Amino acid sequence: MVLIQLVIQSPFTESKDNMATTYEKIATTTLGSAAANITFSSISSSYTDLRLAVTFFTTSNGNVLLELNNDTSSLYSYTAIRANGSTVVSNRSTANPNALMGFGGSGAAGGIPALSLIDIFSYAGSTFKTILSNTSSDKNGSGFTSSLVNLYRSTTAISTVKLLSDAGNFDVGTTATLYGIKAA
Amino acid sequence: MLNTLLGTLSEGVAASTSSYESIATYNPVTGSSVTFSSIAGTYKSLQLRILGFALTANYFGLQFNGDTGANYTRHALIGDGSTVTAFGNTGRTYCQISSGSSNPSVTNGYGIIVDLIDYASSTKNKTVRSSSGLDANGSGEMSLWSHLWVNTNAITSITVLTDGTYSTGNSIALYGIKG
Repeated sequence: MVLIQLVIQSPFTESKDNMATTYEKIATTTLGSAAANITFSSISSSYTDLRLAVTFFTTSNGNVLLELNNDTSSLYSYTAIRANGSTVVSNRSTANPNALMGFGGSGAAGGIPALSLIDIFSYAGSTFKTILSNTSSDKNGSGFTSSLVNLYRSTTAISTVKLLSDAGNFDVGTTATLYGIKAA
Repeated sequence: MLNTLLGTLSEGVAASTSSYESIATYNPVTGSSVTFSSIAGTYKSLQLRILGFALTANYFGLQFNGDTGANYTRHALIGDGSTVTAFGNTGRTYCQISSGSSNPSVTNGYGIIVDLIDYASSTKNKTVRSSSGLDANGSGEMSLWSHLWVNTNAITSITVLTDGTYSTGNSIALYGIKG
């Protein structure tokens, strides 16, 4: 028997599955000693988006930077909005060697942590990579809240994500969790 | 790989195990709208995750249950890299989820996350929040949005629209979050 399958391609490609659960933890790291970076490597391309949740301490009031595929060329740029309790401003930066995730920094180990939530859209796709981040850095009387969009002008699938600090090292107690989000 | 499943809202609110489910995804390459229809009322909240590419477009937006009337309101906080703008409007015909100051394009995608809380309620007007950003290596914007759909009907369909034309690279994914 010969089966002939006719496929009509709609301009809209919709797919539905059986409501499968789709938000998966890939890996978690909690630092037992200060470190310059936290790296997630060999990331499967089987998800649609990636999400990072980083609760961090730094030794010098640092913010989180993201380096993708160990690429430190000037392919990163961002547009940001941030507020410090009295003033809200917007700025941008281009030709950066990594992606900035927020403003305000964090305290050292045992002090006041900061939180960055990071969404990397279509990380395994062949388009430039768009990254949204929100960083909460409240220091009991001072601090920032900030939202950023970063562009990584590479069409290569992301398989390695490295977290760095823009000042000092990540301190003891810093926790970073990488999630994968699948679309139907 | 660990298969621990966490349902987490876009701003990091932890949910129970196995509570974040993919409902459907569109990858339009042309046209100006896609519609998620027959959405079950079995979730507590919905989340849209969008990487949007479009030609000659000024914005992306949402309409619920096919309502094209002036029943939507908005408040926004937008930073374009130098200036911060805040505004609010009533009588809108859609929920605008990205700024018109930075056009979606074919190379630089708009990242958008939308949360619809209590979407299945039949007694509450619907509050929607979204965050969106587009950086185009020297231009772009980051924006935070609050919307109200002045309607107490349960949301059973969501149309994601643009005033331009969708192009290659789009991922428009709808998720259900159980309460």
